[in-house]
Amino acid sequence: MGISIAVLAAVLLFVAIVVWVKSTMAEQGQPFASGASLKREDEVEAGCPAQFVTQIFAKKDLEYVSGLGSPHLEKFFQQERKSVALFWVQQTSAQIRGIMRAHLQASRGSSDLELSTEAGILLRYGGLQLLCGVLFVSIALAGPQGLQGLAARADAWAQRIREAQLGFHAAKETGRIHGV
Amino acid sequence: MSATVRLVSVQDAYDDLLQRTLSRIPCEFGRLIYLASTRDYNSGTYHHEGLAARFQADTARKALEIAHRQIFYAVSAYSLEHLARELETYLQTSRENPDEFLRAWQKLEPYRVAIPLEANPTIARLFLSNIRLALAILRFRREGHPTLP
Repeated sequence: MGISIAVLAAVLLFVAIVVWVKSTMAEQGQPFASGASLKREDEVEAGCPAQFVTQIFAKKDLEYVSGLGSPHLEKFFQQERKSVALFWVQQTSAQIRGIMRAHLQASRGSSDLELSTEAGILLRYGGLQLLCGVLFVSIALAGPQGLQGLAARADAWAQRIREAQLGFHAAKETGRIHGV
Repeated sequence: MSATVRLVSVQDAYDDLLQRTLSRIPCEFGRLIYLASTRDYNSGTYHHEGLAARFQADTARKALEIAHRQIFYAVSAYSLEHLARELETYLQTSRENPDEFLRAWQKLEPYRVAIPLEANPTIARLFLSNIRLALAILRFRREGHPTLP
């Protein structure tokens, strides 16, 4: 009994991750969704400001809409907010994947890599992708409200990876200037 | 021209834009739509005759672009309740028939042009979603039942 539940849970998790990966890939093919049509390097690379992430996952707007007393409006709100939240998760995941790709390329040409730093970045990247997967499935199943803490953590991790990448670039540039 | 002088003149043009033009528009949402309307649909560049005459065309363009971006982010950060109020004020000042206005906005989505060219994609999506919701709320208030897009 216990084994069959574990197998079922594993299958469900696998299906959820496949759906998430496929939707992320599909999203990358859409010019608007990938941000290509609205892209400005510094802004896109900086990610969505934390204030807006909080807003997407907050309960305040839902409480306001619920107070209007229309189940249809409430359902419409849930659909809209869910769509924005899923988009944010996909954007964050895709952006961090891009940063890691660029980081790996840059690392190949670097002779003074620190193994512990690289392992730390890789672990953080893996953790963030897992968190994005969990967020995606949770939002799809239950909506973004109530996931504010998890979203804030994902946002903070993504920010740390961005900063680590900036630091890596800065160190590389400094090395180049000093002829290292 | 040095970078400092250039920055100062952009700041002057920006202040001028706020004082002479934007302060006359009664709501932030109206200012956003106005600023978006100063942008050429084909090239994406901003133009304001009066501002360009007082300052250089390039300086005026930069000031318009900055003002557009700032107001866009401010409006995008509004709670839904605040945005619905803003949209209602905008509707009232437009002097259009409210029912026709709401129907046209839900169908044609003209507010899409209010997004600056370089906006963060998630914020752009949140903005569009919030406008759709605010329109549905205003229509619900008028008709007593929701008319969704």
